[in-house]
Amino acid sequence: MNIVGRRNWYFLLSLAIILPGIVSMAFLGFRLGIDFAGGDQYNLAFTQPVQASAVQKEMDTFNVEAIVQQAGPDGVLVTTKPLASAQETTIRADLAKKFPLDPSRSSYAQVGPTIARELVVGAGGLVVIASILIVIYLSIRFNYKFAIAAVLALLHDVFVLTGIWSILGKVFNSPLGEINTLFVTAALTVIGFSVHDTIVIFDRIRENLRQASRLTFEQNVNLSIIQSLARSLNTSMTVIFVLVALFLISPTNIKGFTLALLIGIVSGTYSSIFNASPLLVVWRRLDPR
Amino acid sequence: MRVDRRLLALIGVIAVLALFIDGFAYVYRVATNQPLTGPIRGVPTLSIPFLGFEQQIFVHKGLDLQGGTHLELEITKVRSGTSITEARDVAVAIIERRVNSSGYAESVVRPEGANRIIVELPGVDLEQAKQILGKTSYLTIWKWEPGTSDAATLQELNPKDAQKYPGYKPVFTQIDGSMITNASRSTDPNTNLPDVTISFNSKGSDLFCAFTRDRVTHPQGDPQNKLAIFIDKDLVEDANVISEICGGSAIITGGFTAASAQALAIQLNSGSLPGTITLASATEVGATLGATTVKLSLLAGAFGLSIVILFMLLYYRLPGLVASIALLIYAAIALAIFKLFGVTLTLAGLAGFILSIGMAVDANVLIFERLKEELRAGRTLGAAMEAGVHRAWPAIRDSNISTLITCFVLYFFGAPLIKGFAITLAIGVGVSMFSAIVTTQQFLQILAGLRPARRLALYGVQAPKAA
Repeated sequence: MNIVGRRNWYFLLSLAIILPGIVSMAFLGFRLGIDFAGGDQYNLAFTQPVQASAVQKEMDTFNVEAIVQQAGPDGVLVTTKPLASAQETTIRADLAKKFPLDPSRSSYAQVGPTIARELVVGAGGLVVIASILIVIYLSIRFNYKFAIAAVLALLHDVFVLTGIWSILGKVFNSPLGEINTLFVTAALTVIGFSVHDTIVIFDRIRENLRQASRLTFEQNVNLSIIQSLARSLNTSMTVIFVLVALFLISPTNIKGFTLALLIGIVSGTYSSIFNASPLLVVWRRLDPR
Repeated sequence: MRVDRRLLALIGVIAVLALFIDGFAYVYRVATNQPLTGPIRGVPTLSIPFLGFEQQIFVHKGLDLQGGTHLELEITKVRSGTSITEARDVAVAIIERRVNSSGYAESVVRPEGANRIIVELPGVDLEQAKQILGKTSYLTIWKWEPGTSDAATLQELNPKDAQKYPGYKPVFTQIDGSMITNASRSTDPNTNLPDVTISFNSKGSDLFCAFTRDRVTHPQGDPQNKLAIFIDKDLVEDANVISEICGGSAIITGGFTAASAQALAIQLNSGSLPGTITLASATEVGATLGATTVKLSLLAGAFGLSIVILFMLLYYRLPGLVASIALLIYAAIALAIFKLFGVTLTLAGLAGFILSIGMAVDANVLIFERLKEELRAGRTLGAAMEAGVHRAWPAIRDSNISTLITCFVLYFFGAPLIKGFAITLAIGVGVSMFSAIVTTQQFLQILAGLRPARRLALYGVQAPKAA
C-alpha cells in the first residue's frame, strides 16, 4: 500500500471537505448559541405532543425575536434575544398556562452580553494557547518540522469540524450545528485526540529513522504509516463505538456535542494517517536538509 | 522481566481500595442500619479517627445532572472607596447568608474572577432562586417635598412611584443601604404584630436622626411626614414617621405579615451590598431531566464499555481479556478518585470520562500491536511482552502528555463547564497510563509464566515459520 505516493489525492480529498466549509463560514458565518450570542433559551418538555409552530405563534406575540424549533415529539427549543427578568417570568407563566408544560424535564438558560463576549475571545485563545504548547512539546520530543506538521493536521481537523458546523447550522438550519460552550469543549478534545493519533505515527517514524536502513525517507514514512495502521484504526474504532452509543441515546442538549466529537475523531484519524506524515515528505522534498 | 510481586500487591491494594470507595454508600448503609435501596439518610462519611481522617464519599453531581439553578452574578456600579474585589467578597457573604437562611443547605456561593459570583442552588427553580436572591440591589431613602419631579429623578426612579402624590416630588436624603448594618424581622411587644428592625452605622444614624426630627414636624397624612424607601427604581415602603429616631436603630411597623416582614428585612440587607448586582447568566435544569441524562450517560458508558471489551476479546484474544480486566480496574479507580476528591461530575465531565475509556484502550492497543509484531518476529512470549511494553511507551507517553497539555489549558483558561470536562479527562488519562503500563504489563507477565497461555494462537498470531 503506498499512501505517501498518492498523497496529493488525499490532500485533495481534505480540501474538498474543507473548502465548502470555509465558503460557508466566510459567507454565512455560524449559528451562534446563546453562550456566544447572548440571549435566553428554553428547552421545553411537554406532557403531550406539541407542535413547534403553535409555540412559535404564541412566542411571536411577545415580540422577542423568538425562534422555536421542534425537539422530539413532545419538546421544543425556544431561543430569544436577552430578556429582562420580569419579561422572562411573564413568558414562562404564559407558556405554562397555554401548553402542557412539564417543568421537571425542562431546562432554561440565559446568558448576558458581557459573558458572551468573553467566551468568544476565550474560545479562540484556548485553541491558540493549546496549539503553541503542543508545538513546543513536540519540538522538544521530535523536531520543529514534526511539530508543525502535527499542528497543521490539527488545524485541518478544526477546519473540518467548524466548516461542517457552519454548514449544519446555516445551510441546514439545524440546532445541532449550534456553536456553544460544549462545541468548544468538543473542538478542544478533538485537538488533543488528533495530536495523540499523529504522535503515535510520528513515534514510529522516529524509531524507524534511528535504525540504519536502505529505505528512503519517503519509503520510511510510508512503512511507518502501514505499521501503525492497525493500531490507528482499532483505537479510533473503539472511541467511535463509544461515541456512536453516546450519540444515539443522548438527549437533545448534548447530541450536538457527541456529534462534534464523532466528526472530529474521524477527521483526526484521517488527518494523522493521510495528511500529517505525508506533509513531512513534502517538506523534506522542498527542504532536503 | 519477571512478575514483580510488590507491584502486583500494589495493584491489588489499589483495586480493593477503589472498589471499597465505589461501594462505600452500601458500606455506610449497613453501618448505619439503613435498607440497601431507597433514598439514603445522611452523607456517607469515612472516618478513621486514629489517622485524623474524615472524608465525605459520594458522587458530587453538577446541577445539569441533579436539577437546579446556576446563576452567574456580576457586580457593577461599585461605590467609590470600595475596590471591586472587596465589593465582591461582601456580596458573597451577604448572598451566602441569605441562601443559607432560606434553608438550601447544599447550595454553593463562590467568587469567580474579579467581579463575578457563582450561585448554585440544587433543586431550586429560577423563580425561587430570584426570590431568594431578591430582585433588589440598591436601597435609598427619600423624603417628599412640594414640587414636581425633574427629568433626572424620573430617570432614576420609577415614574409612577415618583409621582405618587400629585404636587410632591421625592428628594434623596443621602441615606442609602450602605449605611444599614443589619435588618431583621422582629415583633412589636405591644401588639404582637411582626415588624422590621433596622440598625444604622454612625453616619446613617446621624442622617436618619436629623431626617426624622424634621419629618415629625409635619402632620400625619401629609406626604411630607412620610419616609419613602426605594429599592432600585421601585418604592417598597412609604411609612409614616411617628417620632424622631436617634440612637442607631429604627423599627418599621405597619400591616406586615410574618412573610412580608421577612421579605423586607432581606431586601434591606441586600441594600447594603456595596454595588449593583446584575444577572450575567442563568441556567435552570429540571430535576427529571438531570436524572434522565445521568441514566442515559451511564447506559451509554456501559454499552460503550461492553462493545470495547467485546472488540478487544475478538481481536486480541487473550491479551484482550487482560486489557478488559485492566479496563474495569481502571474504571473503578477513576470513579473512586471522583468520589474521594469530590470532583463535581457534570454532563461534559461524564463525556470526558467516557472518552477517557477510549483513550485507556488506546494504550493497550499500542502495546498489543507491538506485542504481535515482536511475536511474529519470533521472540519468546516473555521477551515479546517486555519489548512490546517498552517500545510502545514513547508513543503512549508523548500522546498522553499532549492530551494533558490540552486539559491543562482547558482547566486554567476555560469556562466552568469546560473545567469539569478537563478534570475528568485528565484524571482518566493519568489513571489510564497507570492501567496500561503497570496493570496490563504485570498481568501479561503472569500469563507468560503460565504454560497453557503460551499458545501463540491465543494472541492472534500465527506461529512463525522456522527460520
